[in-house]
Amino acid sequence: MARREIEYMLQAESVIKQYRQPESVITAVNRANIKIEKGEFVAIIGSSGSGKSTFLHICAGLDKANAGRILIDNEEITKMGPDELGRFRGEKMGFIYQRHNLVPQFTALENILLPTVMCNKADASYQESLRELVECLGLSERLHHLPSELSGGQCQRVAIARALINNPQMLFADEPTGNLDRKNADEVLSLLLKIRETRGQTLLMVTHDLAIAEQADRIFRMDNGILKLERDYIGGNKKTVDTY
Amino acid sequence: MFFNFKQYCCFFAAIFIIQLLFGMMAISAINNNSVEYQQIKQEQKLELDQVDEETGEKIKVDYHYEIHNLTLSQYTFLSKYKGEQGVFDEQKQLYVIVDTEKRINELDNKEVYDVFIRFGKEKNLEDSAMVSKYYNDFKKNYIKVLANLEDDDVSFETKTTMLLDYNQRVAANNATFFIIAGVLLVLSIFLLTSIYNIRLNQYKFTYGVYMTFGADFKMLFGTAFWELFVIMLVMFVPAVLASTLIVYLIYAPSGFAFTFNAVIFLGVFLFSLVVVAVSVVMPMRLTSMRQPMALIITEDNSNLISSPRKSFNLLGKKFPLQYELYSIWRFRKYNIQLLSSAIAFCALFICGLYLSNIYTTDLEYPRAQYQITIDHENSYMGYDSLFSADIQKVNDAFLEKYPEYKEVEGFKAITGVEVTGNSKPVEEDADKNQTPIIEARYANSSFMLVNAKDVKLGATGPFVYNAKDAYTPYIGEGSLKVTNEVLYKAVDPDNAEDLFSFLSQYDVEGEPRDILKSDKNTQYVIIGDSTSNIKTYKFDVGDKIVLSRYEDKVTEVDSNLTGKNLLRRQIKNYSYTYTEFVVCAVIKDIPSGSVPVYMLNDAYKTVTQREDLTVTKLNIYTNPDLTIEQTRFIASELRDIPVESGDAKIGSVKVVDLEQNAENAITEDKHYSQLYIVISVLILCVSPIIWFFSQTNYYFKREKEFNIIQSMGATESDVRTIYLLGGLSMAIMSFIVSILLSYIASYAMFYVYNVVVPNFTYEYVRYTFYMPWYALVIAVVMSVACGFLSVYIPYKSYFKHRYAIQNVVRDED
Repeated sequence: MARREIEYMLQAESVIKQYRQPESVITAVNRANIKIEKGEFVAIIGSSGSGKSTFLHICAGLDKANAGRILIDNEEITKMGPDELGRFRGEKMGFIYQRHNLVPQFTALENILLPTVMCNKADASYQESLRELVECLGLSERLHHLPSELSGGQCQRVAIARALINNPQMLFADEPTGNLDRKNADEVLSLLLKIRETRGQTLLMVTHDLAIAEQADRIFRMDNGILKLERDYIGGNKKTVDTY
Repeated sequence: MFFNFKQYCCFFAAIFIIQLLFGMMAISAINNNSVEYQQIKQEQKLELDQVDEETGEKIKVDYHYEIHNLTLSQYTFLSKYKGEQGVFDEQKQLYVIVDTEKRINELDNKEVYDVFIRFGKEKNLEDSAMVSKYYNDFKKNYIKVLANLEDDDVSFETKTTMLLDYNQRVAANNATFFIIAGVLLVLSIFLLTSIYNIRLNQYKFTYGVYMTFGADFKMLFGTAFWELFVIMLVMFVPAVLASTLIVYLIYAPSGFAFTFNAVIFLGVFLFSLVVVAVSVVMPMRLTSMRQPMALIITEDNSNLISSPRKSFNLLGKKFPLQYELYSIWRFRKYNIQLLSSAIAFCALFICGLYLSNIYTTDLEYPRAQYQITIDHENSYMGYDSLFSADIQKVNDAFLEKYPEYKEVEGFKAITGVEVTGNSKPVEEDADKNQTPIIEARYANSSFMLVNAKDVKLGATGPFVYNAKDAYTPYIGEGSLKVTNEVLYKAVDPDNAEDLFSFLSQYDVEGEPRDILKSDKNTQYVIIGDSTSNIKTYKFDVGDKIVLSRYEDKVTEVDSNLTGKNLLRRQIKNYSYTYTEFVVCAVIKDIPSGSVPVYMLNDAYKTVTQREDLTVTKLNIYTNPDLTIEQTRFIASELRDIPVESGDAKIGSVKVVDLEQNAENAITEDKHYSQLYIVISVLILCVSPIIWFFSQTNYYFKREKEFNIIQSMGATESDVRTIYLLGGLSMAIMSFIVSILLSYIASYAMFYVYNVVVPNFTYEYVRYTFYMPWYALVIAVVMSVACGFLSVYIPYKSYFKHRYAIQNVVRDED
């Protein structure tokens, strides 16, 4: 039987990130490698300050690595200029942060639609996505409210809708439910995963919460900047896990 | 504070400017009093005929009081009993007669004496309070005696000098200083509160955290107060030194001794202490009244946003143009506050320069040097051709005394004579000193009709005349407007040259002398174009006006009616006849309450129904370049003018020296003009402080937003464009608002000085409205530049951290 050609959505190779202090150098990410298949859900766990969020930011092109390569959908973002990278992010990636990071002067609806004004797709392509997200996330009653007029859970739902409105292929989530109580966290996460699954999107999530991480296809652990595979729930019989 | 100097530099600058302004004002106030005293001492000396043996020059002495037209017995009493000789035992010597001038009164050929008195025995009594005391004692005891000794025919006149009035002048100066200090206090508090609010907006989150741990108003106020108090202490010495230096540089060229009082240090300290304390009280009180959580959630700019009713439809919109325009709209509350407060200081700058210009204009404005009251209680004579000839004689006498002026072409010592009053007013006259200058509304309900086209657009006085509503309508061509805000003035054809000479001081269109060509067919008027110093009419030579003459009434008019309603009712209920006049000259800048209309005596009598045109009060204008000694000579000559009737000499004239030339010299040496320029420039410097402090904080808080949108696909170029759009929009808005506010500020100053102030001073000086273009250019350029640069600097700072985008998420690590 011929071996299946694996399509990777994200490939990180030998990523190093260091912070220079007056008398020392702190290595936040130390030769981290990861390959994530299209449609896969990968979680990175680790203690505070282990470098997991830094690694996520580098993967998303939000931060610059000192060394290493990042490829998203086979395009090397580490070689891209800032404008090219910006456009690429708008097309291919979606972000969900621990804090909602909504733009304060725009309403929930406007925040959700913000990514659409940065891409040159036809209006109609967003209408269906918007309807679906608003309905699914239960935001229809709060669309014309400013972020300061919404609860934390509602803001986070808006942030998820904003991350998904462009239907990006790659989703990055940095502790997306870290600021929410358990009930809200479960609710928001299940909605996120449901939509992701329906759309077949790839998700790389950083979390403290093992209960959340356990829903991932694979779990990595970041420890002092070193990334290691922790658990492979689908390895062996479904997919091959490459470790470096 | 010193480690975060950038955050506080605006406060350093603002408090420095506040202390500097107050210091300058206090030092200049002290110097103004000193300059005034030195100027009076220098100029108001009496030159005696005696010569100083050492210098060979005529001796000059100080004096406080003048008494004119004393009879021999009065003079004898004054010269004999100076207080020390027991007439008024309780008194020490009250005065010294420093000079006496003996004249022959032309009315009765008797000797009269003019005496010049200095209070106190000492030659140079500097204690003005003691001088005032002596003066009061003198008034109390001596004037009564002099009055008892008065001759039936001749009455004596008294006059205080500026040296005697110095205390009152100082009190007036001090009152002005306190008023200006009050205005400065309000402005300073406004400035500091504004920038403290900007800072508070940045630190609400921090204060919210403090409050969660128990901080109350007292603690928050303490924190804020101590911050500003320390800055105040640091800037105190440099500000006082700088203000002393600036005022010194302004006053030094005059050559007067510079005065500095250490109390100013205390004054500046207390003033800035009050400003600092009051400026933080309200912001901190309001902050402490809010719930801590309400403060904590204002970590971003969300508290500056106006909540929308519905969302914008972003689909298909252009990024970043519409994104930023929408943002500007949502931050409109902030933008309006910023624009209005920052540009308000530009407008104040324009006010300051306007004020500076007004002082210059004021000094050049023709004002009467003397006021002559003609005493004709027992006669019916007034200002006539003979009197006019006497005025010319004074001119001739002046040239005899000062022959050097003969070589000056067209030189006249007396440049104008203005008829201002009559002592025989009609009872219903509102102002009994205003005939034959009488207002239409008091001339038996008269009024003026003008063509609507001759009324300036937007003028509020004249209103539409509906002939059908009038009991005795005037039917004219075209639409007419009516007003009774008209001042009728009679012109004596035999003495009109004095009037023409007076009018020539103003901007006149047409030929005033044509009024003398009036005949039965065409009657001419000379007319002003303004009401309350504001241009109301656009008359041209040859335009027609109609003046009404009251004839009879059909029914009474409700006595409660006033203004336009009263006139409307009068037109409806009274019968009038009408006289048409042709405008032969328009006076463009004559000071006016109601619009002046000059007509010949006969026409005046017809319109006003006045028969008696006796004039009793005249304003005499002299050449502004005359010295005080020369003006004193003219005063002396004027006093010698008798009122004649043919060969008979009856009555006399009372001459009051208004000392306008001396007042102008003092005002000039006070350097208000330069002071206002410096103050204006300092006020202008406040504007960039507000711009940069406010915008830096605002954009600092928006940096996170820019990071967020970059994570969603916005490029760095887009973010640059957002900054650019923000800068450009601010520049455009600044351009519009600064022109608007500058215009409003200029007009406000114009209105205050032309309309409001004359109501209190009863002095109509006409200041033309103008927009000081150089100030406008500076204000607009400053606002536009600040509007743009205050965005450009945060922009540079943002992109200095090339990969700052990660900051959006770094907080979360």
